[in-house]
Amino acid sequence: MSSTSSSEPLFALRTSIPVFLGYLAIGIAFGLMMAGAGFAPWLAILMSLVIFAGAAQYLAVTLLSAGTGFGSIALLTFLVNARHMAYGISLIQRFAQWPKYRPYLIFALTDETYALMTSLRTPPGLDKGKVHLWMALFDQTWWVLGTTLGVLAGTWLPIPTKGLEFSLVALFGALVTDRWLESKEKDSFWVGIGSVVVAAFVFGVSNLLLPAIGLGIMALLFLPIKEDLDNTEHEHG
Amino acid sequence: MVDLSYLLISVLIMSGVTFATRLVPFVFFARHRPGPRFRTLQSRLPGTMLVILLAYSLKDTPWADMKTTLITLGSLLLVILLHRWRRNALVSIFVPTLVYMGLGYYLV
Repeated sequence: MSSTSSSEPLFALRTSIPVFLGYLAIGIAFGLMMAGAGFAPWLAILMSLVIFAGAAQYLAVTLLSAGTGFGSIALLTFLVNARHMAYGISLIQRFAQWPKYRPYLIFALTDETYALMTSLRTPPGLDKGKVHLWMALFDQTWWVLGTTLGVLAGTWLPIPTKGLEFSLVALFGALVTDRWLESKEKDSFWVGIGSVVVAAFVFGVSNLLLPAIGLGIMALLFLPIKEDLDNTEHEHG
Repeated sequence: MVDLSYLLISVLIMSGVTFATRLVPFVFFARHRPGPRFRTLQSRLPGTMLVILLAYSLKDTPWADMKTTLITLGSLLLVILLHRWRRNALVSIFVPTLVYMGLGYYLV
């Protein structure tokens, strides 16, 4: 099928729908927390527009309510977001192709957007840069929409949200399955599982994230891993 | 009520720090010609990160509660099976999430 200029937004919209569910759920939760802490709706919406980081914004509710100092806010935000430093590593050459879009693509590089981007299979004929940009824009739209609904409607909205958070588990589960079926190498998955198990055992399940990422990167850099069954893998999309 | 300028400055700081964290690899490796080890890291990291993110998304599951654990693992298994079968992310996310919500509503 030949491409039309409107196909990129449509394809990006379809691709980002799984994130819609998850972001609506956690966005509403964030909005509710902000409303509960007594902050004005505009502040919650502003935060989702200029920060765009789930965990950091949850933490911010507590920090702002407590009147935490600027230095501590900066340090804690950095620690909560430290995992994001790992994301760009696989996207450097890809983003370099689109200098105009790059600042926003980097700004919008959340867990979910990163996961979608690394699993993306753009149909031939579509402009990959535009697909990336639209996908990032849609993801942030869902996040801002969830925040707005949560903070405005608060508890009166009769949406059954209990359990909706599972959509994020399902999103990552589907993406892991997809990548497993797609890639010839399986090293990356075993390294991931090993890192999670070791990190959970040593640091506890609730603190596994950063140690697991650290272990994973070390293992990928230093273990004798076969190069390169699929060298082009990261250039997908 | 908290002071307005305090709130605005805090939000700016959080915005700047978050963006800076995401920017680090792009600046740090900008002039670095990737060697074989680094290329291996680049191509393998997404798979590793997806597994870690999946584990992280499950971290708040109350594993001591048998019913919730079974519902969670059952729904996750459904995600994997549906995805192997249809390869449609929407189906693999919608259906198990509805199943998870429904079972949670009736059983827990």
